[in-house]
Amino acid sequence: MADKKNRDQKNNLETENSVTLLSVNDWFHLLVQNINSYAVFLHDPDGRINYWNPGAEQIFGYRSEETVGQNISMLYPKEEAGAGIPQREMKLALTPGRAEVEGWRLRKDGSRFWAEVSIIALHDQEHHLLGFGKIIRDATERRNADNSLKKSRTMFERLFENAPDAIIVVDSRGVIRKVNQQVEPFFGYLREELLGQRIEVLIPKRYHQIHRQHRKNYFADPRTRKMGAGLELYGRTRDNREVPVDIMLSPIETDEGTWAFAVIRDVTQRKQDEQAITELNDLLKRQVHQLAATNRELEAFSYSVSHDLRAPLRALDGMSLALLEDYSDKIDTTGQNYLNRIRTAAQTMGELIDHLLTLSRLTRTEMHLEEVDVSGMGRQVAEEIRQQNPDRIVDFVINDEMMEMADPKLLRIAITNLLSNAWKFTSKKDNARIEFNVEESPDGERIYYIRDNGAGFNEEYIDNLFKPFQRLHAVGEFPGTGIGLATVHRVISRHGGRIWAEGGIDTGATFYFTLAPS
Amino acid sequence: MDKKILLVEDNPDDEMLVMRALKKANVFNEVTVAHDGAEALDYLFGTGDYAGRDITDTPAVTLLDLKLPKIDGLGVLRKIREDERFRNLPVVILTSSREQEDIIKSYELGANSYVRKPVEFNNFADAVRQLGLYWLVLNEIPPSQR
Repeated sequence: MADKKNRDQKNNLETENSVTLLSVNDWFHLLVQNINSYAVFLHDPDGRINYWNPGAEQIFGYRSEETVGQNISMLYPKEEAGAGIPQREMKLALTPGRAEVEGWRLRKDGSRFWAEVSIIALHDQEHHLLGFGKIIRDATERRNADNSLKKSRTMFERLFENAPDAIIVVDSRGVIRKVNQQVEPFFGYLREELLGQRIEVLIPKRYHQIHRQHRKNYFADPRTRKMGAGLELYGRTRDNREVPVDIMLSPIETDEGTWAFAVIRDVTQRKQDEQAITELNDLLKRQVHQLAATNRELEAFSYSVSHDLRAPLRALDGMSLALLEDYSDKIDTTGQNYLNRIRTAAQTMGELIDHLLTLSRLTRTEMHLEEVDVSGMGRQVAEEIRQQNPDRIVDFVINDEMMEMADPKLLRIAITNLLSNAWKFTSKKDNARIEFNVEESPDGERIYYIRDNGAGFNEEYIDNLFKPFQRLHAVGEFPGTGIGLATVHRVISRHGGRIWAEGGIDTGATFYFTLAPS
Repeated sequence: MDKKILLVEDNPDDEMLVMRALKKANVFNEVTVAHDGAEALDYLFGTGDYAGRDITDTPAVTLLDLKLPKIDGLGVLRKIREDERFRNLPVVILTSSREQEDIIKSYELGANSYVRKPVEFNNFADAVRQLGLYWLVLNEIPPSQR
């Protein structure tokens, strides 16, 4: 009975021990089996894998059936396996007993990942090398983040260094901690001379006190903003020269607290440009005033002319006629001829004065643009001409649908001149025809034209056509002072348009014009 | 009730021509000539050289040039219109100028008519004749203050 009890107890004890032992092994096994985010595997000194946890399955993509019994070289990129990397890593871990390495590993699907590896050399109780244990983490993301950070930092450093403006970093006490390349030529100091100095060394003395206050204010509420809005800021160079500047401030968080970035730009040029612009504006204003004054003088001059020049002409004409009438018996034919010529000359001069005045007024008058019924205007002018000369029959052909943005007063003068000319130069034709029409050019320009079938002109003299007082016909052939076309030219110019003519001797003339800049 | 004409003209040539034109037009009414603005006002208001004149005897029409020495045409016109007695006096501006401002100002100040003196004498004579015919014959003069 006691034996059975003993045996049972022994059995129980053994069972208890084996249960305990089993439990501990089981526990570790369970633990490692449930680690998913780390690959944990074991291999012998030759690299043959004899354990592969689910974490390894997850990270590498191989199931344990596919890896157990295989060599660890399958886990490395071909060129690294070939270069003996796996062996080197084992060697690295052997003497110290463990090693931490990083490197590329290959997944089942052929993709690579960056691995953080802990290698542990495993020995038995007699210190014989059993093999190695490896714990691997997929550190691709971390590595990418590190690289990005590095690139960022490099880019920042480059920007900082090579910026075209001077950049100074100061801490909350106003001490210069970092400067970029531009600071050296800008202020005339070497970098080393400035680091550790108070920022006030770069500011004219008279601003020191107030700048210290501004600094305190800034760090109390640091924001990205322009410094001293509305104020004139100056920097001071090593040789005590003052430079007008614009400064942008930005806060930056560092391990030592909030610092400030100051981007400093030399605005000497800009200030000079502003000064130049102000001066130009003043000059412009003076010129505009002068122009207005000149116009007023011209106005007064024209006024005088219109009064004072006409009076003597009236006397010339009137007295000559008086002579002719009252002394006809005492003056012979030749004498009378002379007197008539005097009269004609005086009247012509009167006309000239009128035309000149109109021409000069045309340049000075303000233009008021509006939609003008050009066809209607043409018809009205034609009718006026007809009424003044009822003895002639002329065929007027006027397009009904001509509308244009123009100054109605000025346009009327131009049209009157052109139609009167056409009327005048067709006076020797029986079937006189005057056409007033418009055509559209390929680029959408409206080209007006007035065409007659009258005396025309010699195209050889076309250069003189629009010059004041230049005539292409003798006064005896067709009367006129030669100012009409110059007047028309002035009107068209003021509208920004162009005018040109075609003609032949006795084959009529066509005057083309536009009323807007092309 | 002889209708009179007051001619305010400083230019002796123009004066001569107007007289000649009036004659040609068979206008034989009495013409008084004032050679400057001051003289014109003296005549109308009975002052200066014309002191003692019966100023209710107003001209049937006044031909007024604009450019005059001492007081110019518009000044004379203004003075005439300011006075109750001459508010309705027929005044014709007869002048060389065709300047817009002159025409506008003349009408604003109360001119009855604005006629331009042409250079060519026959046209001038024609204008004078028409004026004479209109103002002296056709037009009803405002009842005078007599």
